[in-house]
Amino acid sequence: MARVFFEGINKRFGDAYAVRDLTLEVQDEEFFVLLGPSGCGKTTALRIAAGLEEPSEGDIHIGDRLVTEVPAKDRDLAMVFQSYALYPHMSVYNNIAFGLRMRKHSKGEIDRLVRDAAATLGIDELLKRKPGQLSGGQRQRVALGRAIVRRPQVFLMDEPLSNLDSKMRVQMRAELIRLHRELGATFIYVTHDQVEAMTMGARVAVLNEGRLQQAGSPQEVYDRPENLFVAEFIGSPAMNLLDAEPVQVDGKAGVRAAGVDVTLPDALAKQLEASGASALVMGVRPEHLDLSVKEPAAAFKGKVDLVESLGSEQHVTVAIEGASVIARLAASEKIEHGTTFQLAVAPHHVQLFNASTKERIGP
Amino acid sequence: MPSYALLVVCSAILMFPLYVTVVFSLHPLTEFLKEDAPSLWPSFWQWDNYFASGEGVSDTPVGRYLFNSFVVSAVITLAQLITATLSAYAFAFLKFPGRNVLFIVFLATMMVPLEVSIIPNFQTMQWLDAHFTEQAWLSWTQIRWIDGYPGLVAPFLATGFGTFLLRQYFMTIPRELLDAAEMDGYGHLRTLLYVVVPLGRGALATLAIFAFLQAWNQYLWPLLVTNDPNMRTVQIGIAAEAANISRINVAFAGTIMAFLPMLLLVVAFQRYLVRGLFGGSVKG
Repeated sequence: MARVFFEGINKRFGDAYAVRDLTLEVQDEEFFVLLGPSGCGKTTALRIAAGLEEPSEGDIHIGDRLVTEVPAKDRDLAMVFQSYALYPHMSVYNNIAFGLRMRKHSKGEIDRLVRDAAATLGIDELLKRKPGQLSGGQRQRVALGRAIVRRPQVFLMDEPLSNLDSKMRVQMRAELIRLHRELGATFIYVTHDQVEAMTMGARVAVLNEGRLQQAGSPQEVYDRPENLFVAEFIGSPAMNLLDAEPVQVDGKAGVRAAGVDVTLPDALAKQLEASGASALVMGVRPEHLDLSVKEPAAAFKGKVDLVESLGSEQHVTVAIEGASVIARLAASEKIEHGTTFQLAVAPHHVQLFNASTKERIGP
Repeated sequence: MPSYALLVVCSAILMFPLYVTVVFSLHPLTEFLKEDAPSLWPSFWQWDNYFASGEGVSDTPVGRYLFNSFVVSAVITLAQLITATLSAYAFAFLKFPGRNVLFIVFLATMMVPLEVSIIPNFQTMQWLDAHFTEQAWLSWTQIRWIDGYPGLVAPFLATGFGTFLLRQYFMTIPRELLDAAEMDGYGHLRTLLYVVVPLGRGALATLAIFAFLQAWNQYLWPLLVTNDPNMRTVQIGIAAEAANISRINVAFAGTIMAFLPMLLLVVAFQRYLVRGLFGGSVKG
């Protein structure tokens, strides 16, 4: 059992809060991702779990143990650092064995464990080299080897892939997922890269300015962002957010954004009414703007401002009344700069936020 | 090209006293008794100044002086490496109240010249010497603070300079390496031994050479705390020889012998000296 429980964690540096009121439970054997922009407190939260920082208030539980006062080495966890933090003066073998030497293993046992870990990661050939003689991907593997060799219950990873080139990053992503499955340990993974968060995490916690914004499965966070920050942060290209106001459309509840009236589904209309909000932000994902609907109920009309082709799809920026929206369209659509056309909005894909509280309205 | 010429001229000026010392150390004594100034070219290569029994340097207690200098310098160097490493680690990596103020106090000691502290230091040594000799239960140790190694080395066992030099270097060690060592279960002392010291070898070598050179070239302090010729360091011993005008050529030979170990040391470790001086300002 190695769930990790952050209980009311605050961390202040001087007057500034790095982490504020963080309560979060990471389940046993879960691949949990802490996601947020730089400076959001995710690394601090991880370091608090590791025992490298003390929380100003609050407690950390690992498994059934309260570990707030327990030193890092006795928490039964391993950490992989952003810069890998390999000891430059030691061979790969000694880097991996370094932590074991403090834990009263026999020499033969250390040797066996190091070679096992090296085999798992495919770095058997590199054991005699120094970190300076390795490529970025190899260093990353050594850093992982140093963590897995101790068989800890919890792995803490601080942006471990951010120093790799994009091809290597994709490969290591898959390897980390495989490693997690093989080890059956709890992973807490810090990243600012939402693609990593979405592809690797069983659950994702989004942080901003030290506060937890939302925690849930990647799909939940993507489909139902709880506030404007999450809506904007998750998804690339980002969700289109337009200032809106409640209106009546043909006797039914609706919203008006950029001059376009959208009738709301009943459930959302009820929630909107209950919230009593008068200033709104309407959100639509780029993939929910549709070019193919011939006579849409609601559509943005405008001129194409920018076309970014990605080969498999294209991102089209359209200037509409007082704003612009991005649509994700099939690569096969022939779209030229400067042409005028309309993008249909499907009402059931519309998301609403209270402009003053910035919180989500709706189910 | 003009700058090259300038360098040659400057080098020549700097090297001239050394050249004169070498030449004079090979002159026979008669050369110094002439009406004219001694020749700047050895008229007669008198190696006897160095080696002849009964009249060369080897006949004076120069061996003893060199030995004393070596012991004193080695002890000071070793002690400074230990004290500076420990204090630099604390200043670089530990958080404790008053750290910055204390560090400034450490730095301030670098601005106090030896001449200022020499009298109080000497009084301390006298006091220690008197009290240790009075104590019957300590007399067997034969520890002498005046006319003894303890007095020669005691004021120089720790320095602000060494602490400063190592701290600046330690600060360049990535913080994550220390975090990793902490996660691996290493406490401060082991982290210091297994991570920080191996990574700081260059800075430690620099400090070692500076400390050794400085200790070797000391003059005023050894002069003050030693009266017994047996406890003289080489600089004092040579000076005493030089005072004896009838043997000035031998004194020059002695100067060369006192200087040779340092020359070898500097040549061998020159890269650490340069690196230490430019440490931090030039990356790599």
